[in-house]
Amino acid sequence: MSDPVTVSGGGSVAVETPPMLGAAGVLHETVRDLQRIDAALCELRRDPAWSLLDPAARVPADERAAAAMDHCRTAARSAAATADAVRSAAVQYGAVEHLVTAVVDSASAGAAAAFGGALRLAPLVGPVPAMVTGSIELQTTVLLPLAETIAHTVRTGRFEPQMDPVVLRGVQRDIVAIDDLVRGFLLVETPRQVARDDPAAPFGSESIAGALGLGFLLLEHPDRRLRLQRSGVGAMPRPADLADLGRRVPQDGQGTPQLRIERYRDPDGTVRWIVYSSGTVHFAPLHEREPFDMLANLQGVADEPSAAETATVRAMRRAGIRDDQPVLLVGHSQGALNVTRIAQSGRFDVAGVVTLGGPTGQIALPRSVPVLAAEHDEDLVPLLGGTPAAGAAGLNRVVVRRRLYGDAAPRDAGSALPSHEMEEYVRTLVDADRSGATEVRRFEQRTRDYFAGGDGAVSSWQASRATGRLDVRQPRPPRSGHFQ
Amino acid sequence: MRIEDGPSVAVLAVAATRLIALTDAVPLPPPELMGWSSPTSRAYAQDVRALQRSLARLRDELAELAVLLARAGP
Repeated sequence: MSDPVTVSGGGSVAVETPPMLGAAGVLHETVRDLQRIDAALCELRRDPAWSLLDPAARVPADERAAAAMDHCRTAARSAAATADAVRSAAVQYGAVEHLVTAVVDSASAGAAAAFGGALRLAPLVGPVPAMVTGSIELQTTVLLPLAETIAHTVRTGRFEPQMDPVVLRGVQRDIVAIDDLVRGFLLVETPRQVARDDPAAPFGSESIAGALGLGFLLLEHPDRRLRLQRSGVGAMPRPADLADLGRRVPQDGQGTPQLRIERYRDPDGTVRWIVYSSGTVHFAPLHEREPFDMLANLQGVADEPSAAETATVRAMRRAGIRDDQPVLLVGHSQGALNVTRIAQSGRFDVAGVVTLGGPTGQIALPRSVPVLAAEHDEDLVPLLGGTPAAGAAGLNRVVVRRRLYGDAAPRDAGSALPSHEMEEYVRTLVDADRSGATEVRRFEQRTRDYFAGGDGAVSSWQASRATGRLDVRQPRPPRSGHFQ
Repeated sequence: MRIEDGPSVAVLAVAATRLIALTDAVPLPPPELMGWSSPTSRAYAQDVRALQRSLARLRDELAELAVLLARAGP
């Protein structure tokens, strides 16, 4: 049995307060049920038979019904106020946790930088500083995750560090500290870089991913061209809720469409679109025919236009999406990365972004774009995006978190990353829809036009590489002024 | 009591009885938040207990209403 979802509006940190948020969720149900009873009582008093009651019976019945409605409304107000209070407490608790996490991350970055500097200066000051800082690094990066892995294995009989949230958080901390280590060694680390993980800083995650991607291109650089094939054109009702969005994301299968585009026309004539993108289809560094490969992941993290992102933009253009037409972007894994980069580029009028297990936490989108990110505690992929953006960009990002397993065995034992599977993310969105969480409701409110209205049209798009020049080196257009 | 329309009034009584069942099914969270003790959690516990009392009063009123309507029926 997995925990209920945890929703945080702070953007980055999972508020570990399931009992509080669970109670708030139940109280929201209480309010809804009481409102139904209140409505039923109103209906009862409006029933024609009520007016036919003998006055001797109707007067006390009226009094009893009025008293019942009074109790009903008082209880509903009380339940709503309690739900809000307990949720506020959870958010405040999360803010403190956010601060603690930031301090721990900064300490980790500082230790890495100090270790790098001590290594560099060892010929001058001797080996002791390097040994001291190195032992701190060893403890945080290796020994603690190792101890957690051993404890989990003893407890459950299963060796699965790739799904242990504690180990994964440690791995994330290690990843974001690599650039601090390098800059420390080069003696160029600054206090600001210790305090804030900037992917665009020298040797930051964008640089490292870019270098790795460039390496793949140098290893194999065939001349190939992108090809787009449209299929599966038909009518389609609007999605009913967030879970419905998740169900419509194309599966990551080889030889099948990676993209799905829906077009809807509102009664006032506004044309709006939803674009869905699958994740990585092939994990080869540079696949011969598949653009949704590992290279696209690296380029996406490096903020370089990948073939997969380029294919998505071209499919959007060929489907007919104009710059002034609102579009909702939905993506899983690499697809989340691609659509978030597209939203960041400012090339379209993006009305919202839904990411499912994407390494997108560090990508800052403008406040005008509501973002809902679903992430699982046991999923490594979102952590590869580094420490999520803080400040206004982080606050704009609603994060729906779910812990899937605890000590229980994963459902899909055959998958290398069962917590990354689309099926699990759809379950998370189902829970998000039911949560009644204020942040989720606010996101739904801002994107409500996508969920109500007449049917539209759907098309599927498959991108592949063919003979010709590989189109991955296009310069990215400059960012719009309001983007961070 | 004068009975103008017995079967319709009886339907009202049945509807009121159904509302009692609905009230009994209204979900309430546990008053204690496991593993968390603070002024906020104590205030929360008080609120939930007050809510339990409000629901009990609602149920009592509905029960009296159902009895009244049943007596007014055939």
